[in-house]
Amino acid sequence: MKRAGQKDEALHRKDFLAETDGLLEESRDALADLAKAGGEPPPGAVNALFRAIHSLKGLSAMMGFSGLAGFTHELEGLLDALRMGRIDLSGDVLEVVAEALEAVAVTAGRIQAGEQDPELPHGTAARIRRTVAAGRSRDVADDGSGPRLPPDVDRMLTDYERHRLRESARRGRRLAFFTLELPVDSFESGLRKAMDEVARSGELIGTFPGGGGRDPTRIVFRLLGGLPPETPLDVVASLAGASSSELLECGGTALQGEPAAPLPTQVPLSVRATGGTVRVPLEKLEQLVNLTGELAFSRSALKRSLGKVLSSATDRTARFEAQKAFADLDRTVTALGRAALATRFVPVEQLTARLSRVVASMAPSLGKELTFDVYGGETEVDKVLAEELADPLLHIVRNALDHGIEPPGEREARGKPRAGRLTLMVETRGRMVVFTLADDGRGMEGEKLIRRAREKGLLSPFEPDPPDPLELVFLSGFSTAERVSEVSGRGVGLDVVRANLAKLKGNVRVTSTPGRGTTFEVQVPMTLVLVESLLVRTEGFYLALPTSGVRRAFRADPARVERRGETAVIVDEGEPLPLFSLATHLGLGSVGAAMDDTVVVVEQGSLRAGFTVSSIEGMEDVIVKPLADVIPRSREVTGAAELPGGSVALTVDPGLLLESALPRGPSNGGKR
Amino acid sequence: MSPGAGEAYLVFRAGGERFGLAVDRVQGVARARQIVPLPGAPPEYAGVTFVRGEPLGVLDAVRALGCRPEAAVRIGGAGGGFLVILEGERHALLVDRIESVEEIPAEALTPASAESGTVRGIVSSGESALRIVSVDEVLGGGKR
Repeated sequence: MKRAGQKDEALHRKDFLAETDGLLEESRDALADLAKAGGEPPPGAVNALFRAIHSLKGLSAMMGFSGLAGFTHELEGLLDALRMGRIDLSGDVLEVVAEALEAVAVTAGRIQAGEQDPELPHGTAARIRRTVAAGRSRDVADDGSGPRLPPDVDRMLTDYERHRLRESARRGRRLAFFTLELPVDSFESGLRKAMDEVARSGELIGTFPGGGGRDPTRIVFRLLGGLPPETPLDVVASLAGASSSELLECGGTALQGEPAAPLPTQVPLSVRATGGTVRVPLEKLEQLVNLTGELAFSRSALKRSLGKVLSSATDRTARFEAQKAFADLDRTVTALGRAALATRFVPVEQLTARLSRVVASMAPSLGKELTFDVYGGETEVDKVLAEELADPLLHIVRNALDHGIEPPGEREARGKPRAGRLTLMVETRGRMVVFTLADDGRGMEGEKLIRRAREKGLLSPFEPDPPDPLELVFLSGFSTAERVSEVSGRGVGLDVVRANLAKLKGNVRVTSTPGRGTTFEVQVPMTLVLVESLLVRTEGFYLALPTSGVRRAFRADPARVERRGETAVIVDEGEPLPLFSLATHLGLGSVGAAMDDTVVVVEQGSLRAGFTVSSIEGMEDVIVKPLADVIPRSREVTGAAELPGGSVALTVDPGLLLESALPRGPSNGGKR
Repeated sequence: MSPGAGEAYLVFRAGGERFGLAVDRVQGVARARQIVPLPGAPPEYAGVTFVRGEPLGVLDAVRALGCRPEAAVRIGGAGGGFLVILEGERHALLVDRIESVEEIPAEALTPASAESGTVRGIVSSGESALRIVSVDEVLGGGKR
């Protein structure tokens, strides 16, 4: 385990170079789009280029590469002038940007070779400055003739958005607002879809939160779009999932078409990679994993037909060679399958580095001092999971910063060091990865939490005090209403954090000591893709039960099985265990058929029951693919997996299996 | 659609009858491999299978299209038949044989009666009647 503060610099550099590579790639793609576009720079491409260079500037400054930070600052200035319409897109501009990107790539190579703070070519920097200076005279002024916006939106507009708004009006586009009302716990996907749709139809000028919001379970956004005159507003609104749309009055005059500046047909673009890493879209990795699955299937088919052919082959040498070739293929396919899966794993450091940046930028604005230590950043998790974890962890970190850590004065008065301490420990426990985030702040008092819950009506006056008052913080409406600060953000509560973690098959728990601090523990499986499962056969079918829900398996003596009313029961580990035929329960076998004698004990929380199966085939790491909701089936069957031999197993959720098998209420035979 | 303009249909056979599906609703075809029955699914479901690494719900055309309701659903094993993979629906239709893609002029199509369920229209020329089926109706029936 490494401590982040003392982590070796090489690792930081590696991350920096990988990130730089990705940003350069994005920049080159955007530049190529600009070169194709003609005179009017497409705002999406200019913005993508601007954002990539802006990120690169920040990264360079953070790593202490002042030469690169200064150079990218100049380049950022040029791109800002371009996106704000202060300079035109010309062949010269494209060339100078291409030259600058090449200089950045060369510099990254020098950093990789070990140089501490390489200088960048002065000539290129001077050329950037000259280009920006030449455009100054064409500064675009606000003549007040632009479209009229509602005052609350007008206040939120950035200079760039204001510029795009004027541009859209000038070009005779229709300016429209699309209002979205989205569920607060899953708004990201709806918002993304709507933004994409508006951008596809024309240009997305800005996204503005708020404007309504009487329903606390929904969050309102307004998207401002500039659309070509012939675009049907209602169609865009419907595709974007907007609840309403509104056309804005436009004060500007439409543009009648300006001559486009001549552009060079080719822009010199470097394709050199610097960090030894390649960014690959996740879909490509998924395709790779799928194809290796297909290959495994073909291998099984080949094995069967080869067996048939070889059994009648008389040439012993040829038979031996074929068997050996197949054994080699078998090994390679297995290794390929493992390697393909490994490509999905990334060190959790990529995620914790983002958290560190948030802490560093946020603490001063809150008037707080603190150190943030990360342990175990080298732990690897599935890339998809790392992405999904970013928001819940960020929320907990923000919460600690905002509510947990006290201001320096208050800490001193309590005899604590001025600077608070936030520690994130990442470790693996079995197949779970555990994030423990501890602060040494003011902690939480159970009595206060109960009082607050009663005030908010979350606990009725007649309800007794809960045994674990800290659990109250995960109730909907508990943590959001009192104070929605800039830091705690959009007012989403810890209930949403818990719900989102549950979707990842994870959980969050909290412990706290008043005056000493609070600790949140987040547990999630390392991957949602590979699930260690007990493979069983029943009525000729393969079923996969995740081992996290299986307590044990044993062979039952039929003489020990008793009937208690409708239910068969066997005494196991000193307690009565209700017994069901898995096949009959899932509707795969005939009702009333004799029970098999192999029992799998399924356990989830306080629920436990035995399910009989024909045989246990072993434990396997299987790639579970969830079944689409539109495919009707028993709700216990949540996914399917292709097994190495080409068979298909249905995956059964242990919790749902127990829920459906055991009658509700205290009288059920299951252990509670 | 203007007179004479045709729509392209994928023509397949199931239960001895000929059916056509608009090709723009078809993602592709594949030979049927192992299809595993799904507990709790309606009778027209043959089960679930994997195509290029993704699980798809499989509707048995014989039952789903209602041509011979008494016909047995083919399940388990490598089985015979082909899958018509429906575009963007996470479903495939299990059919006996893929015949061709045919362009059919709109006027050649006799609209089916409202009671015809999944069949939208019938083309009566050639060797035997071709029933044009609606993907939405087929899936609607399966999901009910």
